[in-house]
Amino acid sequence: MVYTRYISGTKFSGKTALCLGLFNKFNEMGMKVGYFKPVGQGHKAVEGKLQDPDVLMMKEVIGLSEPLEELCPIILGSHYLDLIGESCVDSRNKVLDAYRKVSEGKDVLIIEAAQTPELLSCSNLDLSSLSKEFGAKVIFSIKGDNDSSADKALLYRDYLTGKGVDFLGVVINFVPFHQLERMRGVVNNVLERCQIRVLGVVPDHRELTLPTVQEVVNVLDAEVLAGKRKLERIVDNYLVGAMAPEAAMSWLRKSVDRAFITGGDRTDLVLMALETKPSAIILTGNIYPPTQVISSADSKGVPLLLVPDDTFTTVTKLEVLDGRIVPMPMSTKKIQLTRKIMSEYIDWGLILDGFENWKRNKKRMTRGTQKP
Amino acid sequence: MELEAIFRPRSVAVVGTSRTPGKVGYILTKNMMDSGFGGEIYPINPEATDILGLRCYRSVLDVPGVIDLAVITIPSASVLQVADECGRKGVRALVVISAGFKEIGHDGAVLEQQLLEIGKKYDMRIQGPNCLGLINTETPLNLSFAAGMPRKGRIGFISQSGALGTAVLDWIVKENIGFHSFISLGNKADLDEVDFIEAMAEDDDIGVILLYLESIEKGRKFIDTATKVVKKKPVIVLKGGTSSAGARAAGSHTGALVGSFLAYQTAFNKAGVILAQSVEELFDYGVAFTEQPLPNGEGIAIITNAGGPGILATDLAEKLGVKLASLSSDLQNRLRQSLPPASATGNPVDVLGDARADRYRFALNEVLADGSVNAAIVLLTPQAMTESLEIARSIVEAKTAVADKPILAVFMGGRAVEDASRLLVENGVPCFDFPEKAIQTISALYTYKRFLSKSATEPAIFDDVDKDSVKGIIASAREDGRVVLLSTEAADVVGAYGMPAPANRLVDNAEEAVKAAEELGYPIVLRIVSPDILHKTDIGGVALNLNSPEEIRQAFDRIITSVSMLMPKARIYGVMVYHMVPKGMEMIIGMSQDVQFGPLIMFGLGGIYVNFLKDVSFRLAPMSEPEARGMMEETKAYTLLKGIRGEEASDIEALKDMLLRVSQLVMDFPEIVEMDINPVIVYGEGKGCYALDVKITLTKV
Repeated sequence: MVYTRYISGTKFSGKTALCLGLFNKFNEMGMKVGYFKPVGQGHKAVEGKLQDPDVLMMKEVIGLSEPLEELCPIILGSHYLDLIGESCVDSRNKVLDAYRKVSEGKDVLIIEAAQTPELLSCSNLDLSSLSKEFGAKVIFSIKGDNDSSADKALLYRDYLTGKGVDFLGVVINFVPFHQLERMRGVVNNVLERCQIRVLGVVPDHRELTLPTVQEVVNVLDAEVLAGKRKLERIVDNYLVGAMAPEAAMSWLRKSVDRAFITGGDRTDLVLMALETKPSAIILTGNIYPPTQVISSADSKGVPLLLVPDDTFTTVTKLEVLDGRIVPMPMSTKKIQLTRKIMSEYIDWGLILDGFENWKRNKKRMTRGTQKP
Repeated sequence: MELEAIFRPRSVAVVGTSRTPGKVGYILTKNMMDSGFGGEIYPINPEATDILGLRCYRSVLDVPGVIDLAVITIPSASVLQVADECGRKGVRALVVISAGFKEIGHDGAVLEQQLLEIGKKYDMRIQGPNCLGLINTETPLNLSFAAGMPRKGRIGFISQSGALGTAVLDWIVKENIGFHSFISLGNKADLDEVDFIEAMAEDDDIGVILLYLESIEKGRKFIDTATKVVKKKPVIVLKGGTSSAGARAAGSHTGALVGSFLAYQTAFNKAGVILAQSVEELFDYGVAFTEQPLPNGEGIAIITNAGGPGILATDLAEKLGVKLASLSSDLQNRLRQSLPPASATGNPVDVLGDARADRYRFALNEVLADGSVNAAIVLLTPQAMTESLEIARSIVEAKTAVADKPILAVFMGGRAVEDASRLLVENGVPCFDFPEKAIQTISALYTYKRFLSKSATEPAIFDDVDKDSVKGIIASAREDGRVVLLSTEAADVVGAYGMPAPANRLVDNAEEAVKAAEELGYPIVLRIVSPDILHKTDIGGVALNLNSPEEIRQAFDRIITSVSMLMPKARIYGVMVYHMVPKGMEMIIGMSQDVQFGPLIMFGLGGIYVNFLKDVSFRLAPMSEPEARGMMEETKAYTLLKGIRGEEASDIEALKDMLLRVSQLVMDFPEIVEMDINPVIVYGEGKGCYALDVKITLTKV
């Protein structure tokens, strides 16, 4: 049987990053690794079908040969209850079928859970049902942004074990710098007291969760006028420039990696902003700035983006980038960083609990029902 | 002199010369020939053998003699090759008229960089590119597009707008103003205003340096150079782009950051550079400075034949701080004896509307002879009997007789005073058509006089400062990925530089806060520490006057709760605990790095309303002791500091000390891009001051 780890967690808690990290780790150990996401969620249709962006990303990054329907047999839109059906035998079969195909010839399978653990409970295709079906141990990831992370961990552990899930432990993810000590100290102690295993405390790396200038360009459909080689810079928040240049300068100096939004005719603001090296300057209203400004931006290495919309529309479009969904494609830098972080902050000994046994058993048995 | 090849070349090559009248190359060649230039002129054009009677060469390399200066007006694509040839020929300087460089964008900027490299390779200086040439009436030479040469004079004019320069040249000829030289800066790829100011400072034939500038790139160098030059001769600047709309236009014009006008004003004040408000004013000042002596002291006299203009002149004089002389009773008696009874003998002296030359001559001679009068302004309105020409002559006579007191004339009117005005100007008496301009000009003379009498002082240096401590704090913040220092870090930085700041501890729970309180002494203040919260009082992030452990515990919880509710996304590093100091007067000391001129220091009335009251003054670091004192005296708050209504004076010495230490800190650490100490609490004389709340922002790496 395949050594399986089922990765679940609260919404936007870094499940996909964890999957990527685990995949990498097993690969390094020389295993044949597979990836499977039984229930995905789609926002955008690609070639007429809803696709899950995480699956698309994993397929591309890891280079998975299986077709998308096998990697992710069920993709939910916002209306799905009636589509899955009450008996949902068809859906269940679809999932099991795909599972068999994906795990064929693999030593290890990493399964990514749906966005939330309770998704499809009504149809018995939720995390607890499927984990029992696959015989998989569950790793649960939680955002470590404040004390309530501990209570959340307890809630999900109790709920899942109550439903018969084999709960391995939690990964506390996306911990802000100034909370690290608290998570490693106070929160960790509380979880131990409640007998919840902490598999890792991972600090928030801004570069992973913030969009790059390239992603901003994609979302805004912007024309890049300058700084074409600096589109990998991350963008941490925006400043809309409608004030006097001195005030704008003061704000921009205090913030790191901010993007500045203003009209293309505000040459004074743009020149002032260039001095403070923002991640990018977004010019609204399709107004081209004078050529000297463009060449100044180029020589300073600051991307200058031109968009047709007004400021309000632009800011609204940018809100899509807020949150942890990283639109396609994920940059190479982010992928490398993810791998590095996962290997550094996860307690692999705990995650690979029982791995040695399983390896021994596998050698002994050609086909066994022993649980790894 | 460094730029000999530009000001006094022995030979000039015109590359891109043309046989077709109206073309740029033709105009330049013709202007050179007509200028009276005594050296060799070499037209360069591969297509012609002779132009305007001069032998024409294919390239500079074919010219047998030495070429000091080459002017280039061929299309930009071909400039590099020609520049290289000039370098090989040993040409010492280039004037590149051709456009198509940095001003057109990226490709042009690359071309300009390559041109610069050629210049460096051959040690050849470059004026321009994209400039409109130069004129020198002394050499003489005319490498500009102005049709005629102005008459010789002592005014040097440097312009960042070539077109403005050409227009001005034509106007100067019309106004018959004497002129020494004109330089069009163009893109300032190599030679900039600082280089030309230095060159003009060395030239004894130049009496005043006028500039039209939109941007200054090497701010510090400008200040240092101008400070030295101003001791020799006045430097007057007309600044383009002072308004925000203007700055926008200027930015589009040059592609350079124009910067805040406040910084320019502060820089010019520091250097002793005079600001003119308009093109006309620029030249009014230029003429006055070259033709008239500087006043030896305060006290001007105004002589007028009309009450109205006299009053207007007096009003503006008071507004600008130009003092009217108090005429002694002796003088007034003498005046009364010879003038009609209705005349006014105070200041202004009103010789009445029917005055002829005799009354003017008499009054002028009398006032100039008086010790209380150091300058005179003669106002004239053309009444039917006014003998403008004769009066003009009497003014000229007075100027010759009294060589050490400036005299300005205001001859209002048009045709009636035309001949008289011309006579005055030809004889070195500035003549204005309205009184305000005369007052403005005399005010400029006084301003320059004040600059001259200012003695240079070195900035104060303190040696009881802990640089390593500050280095460590900055490094630690950078490691954390921050550019904004925490309040605790900022307080430690100013403490390291000998500025009194309350001792503090950073704690992250109530018990530690209590322990810290015991160490530091009650009463205690708790303040939330977060780089994301700028206005801590507004969100309940500060608790004052805590006098017991219980009060501290409660206040700690209140702060954390309040802040978490109102700014949940703010990163909380902890709470700052410090001893509460008694109330005092609240001042503010700030610093912001100006892109051109460096650290701009601000002083003024502080507290939470500072942004609205704006009673502040500015100086550029490094500051000397008199500068620190001067900036305090400029504020309205200074009156309060001196003590009002029987209250004792505040410790001004301590404030001055803090200003100078801030100046040193920002000079030692240019990575501090902004700094705010608000409030600085100041106590009575001898009781010191405290930097109570310090904010420091660093540059990004």
